[in-house]
Amino acid sequence: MNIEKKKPKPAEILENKKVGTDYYLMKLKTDNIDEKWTPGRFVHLKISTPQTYDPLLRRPFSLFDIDRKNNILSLLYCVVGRGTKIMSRLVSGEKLDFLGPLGQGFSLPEGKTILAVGGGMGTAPLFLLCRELAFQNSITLILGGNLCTDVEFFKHRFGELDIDIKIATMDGSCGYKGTAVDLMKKHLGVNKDSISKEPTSEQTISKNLNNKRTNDKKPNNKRTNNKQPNKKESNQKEKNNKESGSKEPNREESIIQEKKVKDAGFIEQKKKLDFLYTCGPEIMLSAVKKISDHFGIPGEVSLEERMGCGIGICLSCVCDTQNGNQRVCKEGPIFRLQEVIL
Amino acid sequence: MSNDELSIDHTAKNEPDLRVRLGPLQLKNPVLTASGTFGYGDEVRDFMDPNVLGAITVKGLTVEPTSGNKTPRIAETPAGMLNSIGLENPGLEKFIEEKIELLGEFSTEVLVNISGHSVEDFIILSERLAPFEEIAGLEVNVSCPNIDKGGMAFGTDPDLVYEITRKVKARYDGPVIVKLSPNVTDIVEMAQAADEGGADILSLINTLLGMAINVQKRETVLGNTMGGLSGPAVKPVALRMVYEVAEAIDLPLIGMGGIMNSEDALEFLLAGASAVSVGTANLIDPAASVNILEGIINYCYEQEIDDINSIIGALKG
Ligand SMILES: Cc1cc2nc3c(=O)[nH]c(=O)nc-3n(C[C@H](O)[C@H](O)[C@H](O)COP(=O)(O)OP(=O)(O)OC[C@H]3O[C@@H](n4cnc5c(N)ncnc54)[C@H](O)[C@@H]3O)c2cc1C
Ligand SMILES: Cc1cc2nc3c(=O)[nH]c(=O)nc-3n(C[C@H](O)[C@H](O)[C@H](O)COP(=O)(O)O)c2cc1C
Ligand code: FES
Repeated sequence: MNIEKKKPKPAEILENKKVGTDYYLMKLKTDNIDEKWTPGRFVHLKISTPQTYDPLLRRPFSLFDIDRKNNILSLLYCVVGRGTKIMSRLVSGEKLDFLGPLGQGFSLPEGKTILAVGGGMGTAPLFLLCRELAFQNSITLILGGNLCTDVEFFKHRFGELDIDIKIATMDGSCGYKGTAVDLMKKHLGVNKDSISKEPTSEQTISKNLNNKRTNDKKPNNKRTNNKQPNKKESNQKEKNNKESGSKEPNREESIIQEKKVKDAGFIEQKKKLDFLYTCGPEIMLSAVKKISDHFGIPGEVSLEERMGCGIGICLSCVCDTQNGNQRVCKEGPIFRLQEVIL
Repeated sequence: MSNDELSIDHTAKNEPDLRVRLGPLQLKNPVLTASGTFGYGDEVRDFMDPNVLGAITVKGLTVEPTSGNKTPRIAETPAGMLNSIGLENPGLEKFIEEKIELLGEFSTEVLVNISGHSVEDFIILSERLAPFEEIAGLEVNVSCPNIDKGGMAFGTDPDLVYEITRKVKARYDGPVIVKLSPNVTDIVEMAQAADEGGADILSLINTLLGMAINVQKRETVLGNTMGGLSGPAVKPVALRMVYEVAEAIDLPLIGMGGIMNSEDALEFLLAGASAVSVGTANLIDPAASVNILEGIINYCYEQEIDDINSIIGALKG
């Protein structure tokens, strides 16, 4: 019987610097970055010092980048609350206890035409993915943000890669004026107006694009405005639940459903596309899923949920899927777009 | 288990005897895991070997499959956390089909935590689980809402605690542990009821009912509004309850609530618990229970304790 504890040794912070409005890049030196460190997986960081239990829980972060040769892990994070605030104050030389890499990563195809759609900080796990896939595949990345400054860092980093980058900002200060989903539709040759007839309003998308991680903390002086999208979101959820629930058993309904989507303004997809990847605010994911379902383009999504353990033992982090509840930390965070109920 | 396998500060002194006897349940050491914080024991194998522990307790089991509450199911609070998992589990039949055999592969003892929404549920669970030798004992979770009585927890009514204990005991030959809810005015009254019902062992405490609010959104943090508080924040309350029950009732106790390190665990042993369960700490460090066991052994060496039983309830003065 072996009682060796297999937890990785604490990582040493090499660098922790501000790279955007509220964005920080943390580089960590770890023991052994091996083949298990794949795009889409995450690490669970303990922010408190060894003898204190505050903040009590670990914090999950996607692998932003890894340097296998030098055993360096990079995380890109947004300061949204207490834990990330504490993180932002850590300095090089300090040690961080972590678990990982955890969860399931993205699938890594070859020879495919790929579209990756990232909204705000949700773009973080797409960098390593694109970096690892760029040699073998043809990739277009759609980056969405509210302002130019939100996407600047990503634009710069993704610019290192051999991929096609398209940018959408709400104010039009960079690239296309509109949401990442609007731009995605344009890219695919889908009627832009279609989405406005769906319950997912453009405004909601724009509000949520970059604010997902900040909306918890930002003082909210437009209370009614904020409530509205929430309600819509849950209506949307219910609707989708029903849709997926009725799809299998009732063909007729599914045909009607399909027709509805068509009537909503979708036109035939013009671009050839083999695979989709997406990560970002839920409202965006749900719109991307709708497009993916409609055109039958397979894809994968990275989900977020509040976590206790990060290793599958507490059932805090479940999400609803066609196969019932799944743990975001164990069966996810990467799921097939077709499987998740958003 | 030989203590050689743990990273212990070895000296020439005698190896401490860690075995504890809790009525009919004999354990190789007093460190267990708490229900709902250790899955089915297999998920943690990447981080530690559950077999070094005295026993593991698996997730609460209900008769029917339960999909649990909506998310967020967890909220961090000062030195603690709230959870409203909602007893998500595959249900009795699927548990028997898919989990029992795997649980039988553990060389350590496996305790199964059972939950019901009616007295009848507890009867079904204990009857159906009785034949399985893979299970070392049942832990009866009386902290769940009683649907027949408008959702009030069974564990707050001594008559119901008595009735459930007696009915489980009549159907299950192995050790029956009754897990008490702290959401009561008088914990001793509940312990007495379980004792009279025939419980072999008591475990305490389950989580303390609490809530948290996001003031920006004016929404409760948990999807289910209320949830159970656990972690370091509850330890003083848990310790007091263990102490009170140990003073009043002559049943072996499994103490839990906020145990993060070996010192916490030793406090519970000194207060009168014969064993301890590690809960929330597993979520933060999956090897926490093993570290706690090591710490207890080191304490024994330091204090020249030959037999762990000599410190149980051994407060001075
Ligand atoms: C698989 C996964 C990967 C992630 N990758 C990244 C990343 O690469 N970069 C990044 O900036 N953020 C990422 N996040 C979100 C990040 O974990 C949260 O922003 C962070 O936990 C917030 O902590 P806090 O203490 O600052 O916030 P607080 O709001 O004070 O945290 C309170 C509690 O809520 C949890 N929480 C708050 N927001 C989230 C959230 N969006 N998702 C999950 N839990 C949350 C915290 O972990 C903590 O337990 C990821 C989340 C998941 C689940
Ligand atoms: C995520 C989580 C799930 C739990 N699930 C159960 C359960 O299914 N049945 C039960 O009796 N107790 C359950 N508990 C309570 C614990 O077993 C334990 O009694 C309590 O958390 C106090 O110990 P701690 O502070 O060490 O966590 C759960 C606790 C947590 C944190
Ligand atoms: S966070 Fe505990 S099961 Fe996923």
